[in-house]
Amino acid sequence: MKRSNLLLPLLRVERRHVARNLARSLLVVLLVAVPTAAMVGGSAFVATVRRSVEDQRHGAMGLATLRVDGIPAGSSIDEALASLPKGTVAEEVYTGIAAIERPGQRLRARSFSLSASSLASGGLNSSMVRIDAGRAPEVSGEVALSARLLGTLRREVGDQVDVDGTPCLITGVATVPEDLQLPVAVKAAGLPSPGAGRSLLLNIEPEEIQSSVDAWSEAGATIQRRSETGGTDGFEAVLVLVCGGFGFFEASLVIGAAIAVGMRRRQRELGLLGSSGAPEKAMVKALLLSTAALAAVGSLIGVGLGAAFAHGMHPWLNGWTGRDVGALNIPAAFVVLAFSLGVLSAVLSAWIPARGAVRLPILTALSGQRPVPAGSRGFFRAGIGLAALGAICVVGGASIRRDPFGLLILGGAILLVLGLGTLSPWILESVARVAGRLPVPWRLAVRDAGRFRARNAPVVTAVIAGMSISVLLGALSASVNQLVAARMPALAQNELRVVGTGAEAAARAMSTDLGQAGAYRLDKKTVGGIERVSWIVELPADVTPDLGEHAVEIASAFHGTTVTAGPPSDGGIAGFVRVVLGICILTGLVVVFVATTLSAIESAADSKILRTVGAAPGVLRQHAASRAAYLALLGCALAIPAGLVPMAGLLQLSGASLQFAMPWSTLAITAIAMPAIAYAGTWVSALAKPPGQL
Amino acid sequence: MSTSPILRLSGTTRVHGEGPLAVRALGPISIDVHPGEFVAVMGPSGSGKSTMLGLSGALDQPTEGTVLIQGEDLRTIGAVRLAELRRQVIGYVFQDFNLLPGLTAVENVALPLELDGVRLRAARDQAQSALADVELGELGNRFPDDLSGGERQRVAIARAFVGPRQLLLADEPTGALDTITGDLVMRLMRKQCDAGRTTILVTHDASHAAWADRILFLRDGLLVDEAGTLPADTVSADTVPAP
Repeated sequence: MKRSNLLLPLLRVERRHVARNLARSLLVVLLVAVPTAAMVGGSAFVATVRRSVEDQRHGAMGLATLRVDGIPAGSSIDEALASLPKGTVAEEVYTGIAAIERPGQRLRARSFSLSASSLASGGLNSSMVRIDAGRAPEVSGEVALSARLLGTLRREVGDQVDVDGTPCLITGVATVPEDLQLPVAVKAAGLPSPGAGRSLLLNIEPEEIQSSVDAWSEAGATIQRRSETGGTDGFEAVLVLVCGGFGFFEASLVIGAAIAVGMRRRQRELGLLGSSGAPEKAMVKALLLSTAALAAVGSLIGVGLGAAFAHGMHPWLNGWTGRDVGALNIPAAFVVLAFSLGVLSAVLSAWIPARGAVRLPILTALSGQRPVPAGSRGFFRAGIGLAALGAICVVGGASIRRDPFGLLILGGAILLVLGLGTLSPWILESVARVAGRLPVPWRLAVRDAGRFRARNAPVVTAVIAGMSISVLLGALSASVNQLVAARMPALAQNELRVVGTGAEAAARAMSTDLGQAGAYRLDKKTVGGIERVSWIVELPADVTPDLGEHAVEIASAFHGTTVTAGPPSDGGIAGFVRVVLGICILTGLVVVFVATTLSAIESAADSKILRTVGAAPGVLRQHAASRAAYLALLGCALAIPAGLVPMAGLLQLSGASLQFAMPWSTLAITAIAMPAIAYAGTWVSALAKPPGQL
Repeated sequence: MSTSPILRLSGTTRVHGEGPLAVRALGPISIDVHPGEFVAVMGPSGSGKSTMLGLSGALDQPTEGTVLIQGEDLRTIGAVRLAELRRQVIGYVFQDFNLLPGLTAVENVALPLELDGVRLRAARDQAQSALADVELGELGNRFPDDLSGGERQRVAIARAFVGPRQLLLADEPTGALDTITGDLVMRLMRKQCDAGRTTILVTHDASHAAWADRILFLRDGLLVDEAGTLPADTVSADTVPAP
């Protein structure tokens, strides 16, 4: 018989099986669709909102090829241009702080003094500052203000406002695309605010740039080249790849468990096919092809969902990022990658259970007997080996200072997770042996987990992988908090801390604008041999939310300046850790609930026996809940060393300034709250299930 | 008999499905079983034997009529009390043993006691004693997968009779066993009856039915005949009289 002829009848069997077992087929589709959607949506989100190198250049120097700051006082634009090569386009820019007043209100804004032509399309300033409505100011007594400022002042285009003590007509609405919240006042060329700095934006032929740079440098000016401005692209792509890879890793572990249960339930059917002459290879191929087909459907749905998510989020992105993010960007490469990873991860995770199922001796398969699970000693050796290698990589990486990115440590962390995951079958089997004194529901849960370790070990690994990330980030957050607390003691109720390049000026402005008798002082603190400088503004009364908001508005007018009140800020790390922790717990719970549902399907007969011998409904619910809690507890317990060890190594690598701190709250959530939620969730969901007939 | 029945089926009917798809699996049927009796139920496949046993064991509810166990009407009590009855009054033995593979033999036997709140040590002691009664005292720490079919069935019988339970319901308990082991199982059940407990045995095998005090014949869900102990060679499932 030709090979294709062998495969076709088996594929027909698979097609029927998919249709008859719709719930399990949909589970595979869903498990592929979710990470695919996350990767497509996430990559679109990142590609759209990231500040690309070109965005950074637009923000710093518009369309110019050179920006010159610190121009010697007294020299005019004409003098400056005279020394430049022919064909050079130059624009003079003044940036400073403008005082804007109307009766009862005094505000500050970043002021720009620019020519109207430079703001027009193609002008050197056109991507740095933009006029969204009305027109650019052209003469003295005209100003364009940002929309937020107009709102605060309750003014519109065509109204009057005092800017730097001069009555001005508002001619338009100005926007800085890289900071939509920035209060901005654009004045006509040559009309700087008091104390404003002067810069030149130049567009010079590439071959002439070096000579111009040399000339300006000799004159004592600071030169910024376009080619040297901005960081590197690529980090976001790596982030999406890492997060997406994690998602597919988790999904493939659960898919593997789901398919293992499916294979077990099809044991007799596969035995019948084998007894009818179907070759093993053809059966495996048919099983993998059906999984690939389901995964392809899941991937397609995931791509659609991800793209829909990105489209839905796009209108809100400017508000969330505070920047003009531009058009939506869905990177085609990531769409193709997500689709391929979806199909590949499902097929790979189906391969081992499919191969194991068709290799079962036909008589054993037909008898329906469960094959004796393989011993776990091999897993013990492999797990210990991988975990030890991971720990060695972490320790080695922490002591090798030439590995600034901690790649060795990150590699060690991955090996540690894989090692503990590989070790989990042995742990499941060993714990099952000593479970004799546990209450019946827990004893059965622990023993079942040990018996079905081939299916439960991937679930435990998935929980380890997810929760170790939150433990790792929790340790980072605790360490940063410890450092911040050491560097910046908490403020009094009436104090504000101002840090950054314009801190002194901002503190002075706050002391006059926020309180009648406000004062400010310099705060110096030396931590780890490094002097930290900040300015403390003391107000006559406690800092209210309104005052805090006003202070932030003032600080936003001063470039690179931030203001905080109350406890010192950790730069948003704690918030980020909370979000990651939430995502990891959610992922872990989904994994555990899917695993528990699969367990319930596989051990439905055990539940019937329990009912037969008189187990009350509550005991049956405890049995189901114990299964979920045990897998969650084991995964979380192993996630703690898997997260703490690499973070200790990474902090060691960071030097003396950041010391390791134990993340007690994260550990409590990981070790107690997560298993408790798994227990409670399963218990409640079991309430909805009717006792049913035996 | 003068004693009140431990089990009473009165006009009991069980219908599966509804409307045109409804199939009457049993009844109406009325039976009394008294303490200490050994009753065998025979009949061809589909005659309603297992349905009757399921109703008698509080594993199912009748569509019509009543099932009384120790005077309690199963239709009027809740799920918690039903579970309590299965722990304290009724023991079940199945053809395919139905032992929990995750528990050892002694743990399987102790299971109803543990579920009933008996302390672990006391439950295990009683279970060990029950295992000794079925001549498996030395195999208590083995898991079901490590036992032969006959040994598993004896563990199931020990579990069915452990503690205060008085009513053993056995659904073809010898169906998967060889003749010698089957006879051993029957002897154990007879021994329990002689000790005052009640047994209802569903079987196809007339030689096993011959161990009973009374034999009920079912066909198409109805009780068609009732007899005292018969010689083993006079009765078979295929010679059940027509209704």
